[in-house]
Amino acid sequence: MLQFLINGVVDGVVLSVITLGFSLVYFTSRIFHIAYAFLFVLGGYTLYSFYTHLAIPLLPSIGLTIIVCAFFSWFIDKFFYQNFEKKGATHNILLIASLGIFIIGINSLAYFFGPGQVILSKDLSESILIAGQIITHNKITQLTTCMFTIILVLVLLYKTNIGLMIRAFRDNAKLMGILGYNTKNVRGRVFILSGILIAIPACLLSFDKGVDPYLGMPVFLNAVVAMIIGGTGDFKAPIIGAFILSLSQAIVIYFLDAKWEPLVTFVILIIFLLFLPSGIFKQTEREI
Amino acid sequence: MIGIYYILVSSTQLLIGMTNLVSLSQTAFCGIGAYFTATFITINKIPFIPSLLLVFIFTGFIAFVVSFPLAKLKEDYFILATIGFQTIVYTIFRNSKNITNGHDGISGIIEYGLFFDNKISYLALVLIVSIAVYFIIYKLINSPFGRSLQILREDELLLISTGRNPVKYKEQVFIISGALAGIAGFLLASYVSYINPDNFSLDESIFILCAVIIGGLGNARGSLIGAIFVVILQEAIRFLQIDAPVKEIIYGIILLAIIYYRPRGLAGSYSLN
Repeated sequence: MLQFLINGVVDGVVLSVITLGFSLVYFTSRIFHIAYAFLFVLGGYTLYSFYTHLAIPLLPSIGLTIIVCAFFSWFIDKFFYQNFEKKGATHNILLIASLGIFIIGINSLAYFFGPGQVILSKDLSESILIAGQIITHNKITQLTTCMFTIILVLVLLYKTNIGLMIRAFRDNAKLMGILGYNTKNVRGRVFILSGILIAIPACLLSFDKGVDPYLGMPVFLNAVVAMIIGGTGDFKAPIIGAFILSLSQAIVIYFLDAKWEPLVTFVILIIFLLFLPSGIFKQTEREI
Repeated sequence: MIGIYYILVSSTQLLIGMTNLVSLSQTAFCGIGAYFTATFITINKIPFIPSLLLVFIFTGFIAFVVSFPLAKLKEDYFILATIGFQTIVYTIFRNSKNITNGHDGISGIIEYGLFFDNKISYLALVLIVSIAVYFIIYKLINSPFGRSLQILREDELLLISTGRNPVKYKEQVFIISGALAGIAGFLLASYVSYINPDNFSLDESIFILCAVIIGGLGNARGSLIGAIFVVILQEAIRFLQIDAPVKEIIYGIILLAIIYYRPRGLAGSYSLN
């Protein structure tokens, strides 16, 4: 049981970073950014291209992957979402547009790299024993890197000017614009940060387990469920939601079977949507 | 296949077009209808008309149960809940070895020969059912119930101000939509004689949604155009021996182009609001 919980904690930390990236976009621009799932897979294949095909060392490959994902994230907003919004697109139309981008992106990757899984590291990860439980070096790397990322992002969001602007943009983008702030700039930064946040777990997970074109949607849905569980009140809320979800999934795998994990995930989602739609940390708004 | 897709696309269009609820769970209901056909109807060799009614009632009942919690949700939460329901159903199909035969699927499903003698007769059957569905939806849209749905689509607050409960309308449309999708599943299972869980995955629901958007919302014509378009495109791509990912890329590009340049779709009355 402890082994499963440890795996759940590690997966929770990784999922937190993914969820945080999605929440940044959703809380600020209210776009149901399905194309985020494509960015996850893009990150995996970009690392594969740089590290395996071009034989660039690992750390520079990861750096380049982060740049590529950040660019594509910004690009999707600049050339798709914003153009649709200029044409008066509603929320649902932006969702369909995001779906279209996801379909094109995923299948482009499937076309170029093939539909099967590609492995980045042929070596088996070494492991260590902690309190009788096995933890691989890859898992330790995931845990430490993602924890560091979360701390860095929270410091950015709560202790810097950029973070203040992002939070202001989340609270009231219109008012921010009226007060003379460049909201397009802030929005661009949000999407770039979101791209960075999806690239890091994409690199870590694809290095550990490989990547295939159809990996993105399940990961994306987990992030969305985690965000719902945590709530839309604050940027810290999705992190808690991700932990709750990952630990629940670990318990399901332990007591039942991994094949029932999606069912339990979405039963949890539906329970939250019905009884606690604002999540655990709901946002309290002042009525003016 | 155009007939079967037409029924499935119509059922989705009814829900999206009349209530603005974007659903990604229609293939789940289609799968429920198909598996019910494969496991219950085939084994008991039930005649055609009672089979059709049974599938309609059974799938409609499932939709009735699901509609209670889902119809209260709005926008993103509703979409998420339908994705959740779709995933739950798919997981059950895939993992219930005893009932659905799991990933292996069910083969040897009652063939059209049991009801009719040949393919032409089956084509006539699908045509009759499709025309019946067309008239049902046409009558629905042009009835007082349909006019209330139009108000619901345009302005939910206005409907509430007339003393009506929008949630009840959404539930009813959800039930009818689910039941019609079940009929499509019944016809599909009978036609192809083999079903497996991957026929009813989230990807298929996304595909049906694309067909709805491409065809257009708000009238029966849009569903027909959407169904014809996707089937013809599928067959053309198969004829030209284009790879599956390229096919999906083409769909994605067409979808983006349609919602950007013509949000009403090829034959719709209005755009997705």
